[in-house]
Amino acid sequence: MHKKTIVVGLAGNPNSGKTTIFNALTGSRQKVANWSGVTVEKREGRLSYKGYNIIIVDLPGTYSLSSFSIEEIVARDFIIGSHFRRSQHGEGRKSRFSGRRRHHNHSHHAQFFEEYTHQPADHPDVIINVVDAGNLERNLYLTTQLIEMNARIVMALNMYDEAETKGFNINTDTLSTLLGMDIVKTIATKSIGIDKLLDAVINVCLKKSPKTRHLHINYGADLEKEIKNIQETIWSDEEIGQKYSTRWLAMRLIEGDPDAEKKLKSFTNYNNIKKQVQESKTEIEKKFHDSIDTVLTDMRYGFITGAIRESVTRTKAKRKDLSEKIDKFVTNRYLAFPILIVFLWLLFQLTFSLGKYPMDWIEKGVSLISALFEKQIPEGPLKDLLIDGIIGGVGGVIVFLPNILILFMGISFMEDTGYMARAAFKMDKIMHTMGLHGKSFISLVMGFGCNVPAIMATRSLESTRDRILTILINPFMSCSARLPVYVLFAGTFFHKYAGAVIASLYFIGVIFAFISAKLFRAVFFKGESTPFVMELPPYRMPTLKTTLLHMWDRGSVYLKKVGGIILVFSIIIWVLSAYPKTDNNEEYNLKIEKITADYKANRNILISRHGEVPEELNMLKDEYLSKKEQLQLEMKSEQMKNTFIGKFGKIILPVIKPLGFNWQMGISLTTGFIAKEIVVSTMGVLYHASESEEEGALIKPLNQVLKKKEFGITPLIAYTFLLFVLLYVPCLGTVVVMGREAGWSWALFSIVYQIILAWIVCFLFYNAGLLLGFR
Amino acid sequence: MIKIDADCNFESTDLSSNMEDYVESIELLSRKKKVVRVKDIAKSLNIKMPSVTAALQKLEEKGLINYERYGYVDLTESGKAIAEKVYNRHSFLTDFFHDVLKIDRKRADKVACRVEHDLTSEACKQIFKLIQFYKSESSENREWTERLNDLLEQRSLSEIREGDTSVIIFINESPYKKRLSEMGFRKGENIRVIKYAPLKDPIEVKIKDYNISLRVEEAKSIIVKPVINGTDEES
Repeated sequence: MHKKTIVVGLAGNPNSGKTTIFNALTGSRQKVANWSGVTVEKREGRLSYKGYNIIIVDLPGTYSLSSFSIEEIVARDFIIGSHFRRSQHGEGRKSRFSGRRRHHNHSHHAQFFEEYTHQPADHPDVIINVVDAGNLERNLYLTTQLIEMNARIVMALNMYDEAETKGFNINTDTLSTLLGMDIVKTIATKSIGIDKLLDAVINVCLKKSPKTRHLHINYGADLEKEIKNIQETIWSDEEIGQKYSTRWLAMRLIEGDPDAEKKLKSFTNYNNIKKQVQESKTEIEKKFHDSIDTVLTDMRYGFITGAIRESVTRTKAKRKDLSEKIDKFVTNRYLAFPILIVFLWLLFQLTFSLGKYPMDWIEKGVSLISALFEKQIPEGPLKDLLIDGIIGGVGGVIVFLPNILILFMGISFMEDTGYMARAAFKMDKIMHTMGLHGKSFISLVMGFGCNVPAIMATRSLESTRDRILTILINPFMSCSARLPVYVLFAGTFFHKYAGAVIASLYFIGVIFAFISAKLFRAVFFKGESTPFVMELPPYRMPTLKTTLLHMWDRGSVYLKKVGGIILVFSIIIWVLSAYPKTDNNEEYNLKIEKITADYKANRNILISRHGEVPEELNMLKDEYLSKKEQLQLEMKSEQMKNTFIGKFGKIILPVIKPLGFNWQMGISLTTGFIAKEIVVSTMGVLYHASESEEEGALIKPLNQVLKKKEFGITPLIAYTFLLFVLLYVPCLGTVVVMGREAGWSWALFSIVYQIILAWIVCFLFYNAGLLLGFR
Repeated sequence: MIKIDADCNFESTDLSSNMEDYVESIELLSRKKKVVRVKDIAKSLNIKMPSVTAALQKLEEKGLINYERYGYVDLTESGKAIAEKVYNRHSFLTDFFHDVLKIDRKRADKVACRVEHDLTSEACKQIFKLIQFYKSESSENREWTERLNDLLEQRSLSEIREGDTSVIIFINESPYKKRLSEMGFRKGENIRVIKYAPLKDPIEVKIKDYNISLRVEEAKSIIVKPVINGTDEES
């Protein structure tokens, strides 16, 4: 038998336990994507219950549905998806559940309608409104808006145990009658009430729920009169009147919803409607001496206060507010920052120090697999592609996974306990002077480890604007991959000041992050101010399930959405760095054979002259081996110079020449796009030097070679080069994550911006240095 | 004509403001304790012992106190008269700042301490008249006194101190007004300032049983009236 499908939307305030309910309902059967066209996360889960397929869509957590932030628009459009199919009186509520959708053949109306009609799963049959029972009054505000949208609602009265300790006694029967919807008490963290919630959902779909009725919130005589006036004007075009809830439309118009207005433009009586709306507005504002928004909000809260008065009794709290006690320490004037630093230090250490072990295992595993293939597969381009391109690429993707999992375990812990909000509370003053949000801080600190998980961590910022801004400046935080480059150059050219040089780079990065943040805020997000009305939820114990699901979530998003793209790009870049091939193996093999023969001959001569003297023989051998390695490096270097990337590195020489860079630096910077640490290994090849600085290495280590006069690298050029590495471009992984999280145009912008910035800064620095007589 | 009882004596005491402080504090201490010691005076005025001793010697020379080294301090009759004068001035100024200007009593007391010595007797008299007039008018429930009260009691939320409760009077037009009112910031709602962030911006407040943080800039747009503690009634 074909199972019936019910689509359920999950709506609620932030911190109402919505995600916990979602997890309790769906377990790990969830998929995470973005809402079409925007970078707001859409989570969808499925379950089977009593013969029904239930699809649950987690809507963004919002306090209201009328402020028109992207999150609110997404949630509202989803809910309206069902609404616009309904007539005013709740008849013809035709959904997939009860029958087939109605067809619309009037073209312009169909278009109006179409925009709210996405894929099938975008029409909820029922909305589960998750409400924090301990904070009923404010949570019910969203409920009133859902009621106005004619949504069919089941309320999950969540965390009612917490509410009881707070001293609230909620009579759900009365409240249910007053609000016209089923109410189920739940404690999502303990999975209590989840089945009942599903039963209620099915009942509502079967229209077997006696409590569910269509309710009009009474706005009082004055407002009702004006709403009626507008409704009547709308009715003058019968078509709209028949299709949409005119009351709802009237409400939207009077509240000045630009979306509703825009879409009504195509109707014949648009001008009349607009005029009537304006008149009504003026009338109301005159009567109440206040803006229409405030009047409406007041009325809704009036309705809520009335409902609460009749259904909630309050006794003394059973225990003192624990949160305030904890906060005495956590946000204490003197302890706040030390505690924050300890938390961040722990998070950083866990993510990057503990994460190093699994990363090493992954790297070892990858090289093991490569070695295995090395033996099995015959020589040829396919082998190179498989080993260097694909296996190397996959390794490069999954190597970040431990970092991401651990970081999100930490972030999930901080969010679920409520500490995240406190951290933002403490840091907001500093971050706000830069035009950022307190929560940006966590992501930026993580950027010192690796920008990839750090950018993913911006998901905890509610406003898209703050998120994009934080993402864009993240690459200025010197990630750990840049450290090897810093260490090499600072150690080589600045000796005992190496530490100061490295510290200065970290510092300069932060400065540029803040300058850029200010600049972006002024240029791209002008005049838009996000209010910092951030809830400080009570401290709560996180559950293992939520934490693990959160980790799993991020991990799978990374592997599926980010990993794939990184893999494709790294294969492309591998091809560019491996082709065209230079066939100089033969030539060099001949050379190597020759010196091998020479070595053997010399060795024999030596033995015949002096007998087997170990010191002499070892010296000879060392000399031979170093020559051999030198030749091999020359071979590789020649090959690299001829590849696309090598050629590119040489082509850009005129561009980087004014900064004092040579062609080796050009190629290294180009390959550094894959990952910043590759700058060092590329230089090793190009300068025919060993990367390791161990004593007694066979060939000269890179730090000695770099100093050679013939390469012309002065301390001034070295520092300029470091500045360039700090600023020039986010690495491939970072760009891809940016693309996913902020959109590809922002990722592209970031590349262009940073390259230009790096060039200008380095040019000014280098020339100023020359003028001042530095070398 | 309103008849003002201006009997109060605001004549100058011919003492320096420091000396006035000493006399006043000896008087206040002697009301609280049986005997007044030098260290009590030092403590209450937050002045070092040797300076106190020096000052006391001067006062003794003027015949305002009886004082023995390392012993108790007593005001003489003329000392008492001066103390009375100084104290009267202080307390009527405190009344003015608290009862009329609606400044919190503790802070009103502090302000009074700062200005009491510098006001001329003429200014004192005029202020005294004003207080009397105001009191008689407000006891007759004149409308203008109520309006004045409302005006003077209004504060922006950013001026409320940690731990104090106030009630919202209105919210100024601002880009955040709508968001704030949707989150429950409405006329007549009680709001308690829980704490200021370590760097003094954002502020944590409690409204409708939940805690929320606001930037000072946003808090400035919320106009409130302090609620006298103990009457935390919800509408």
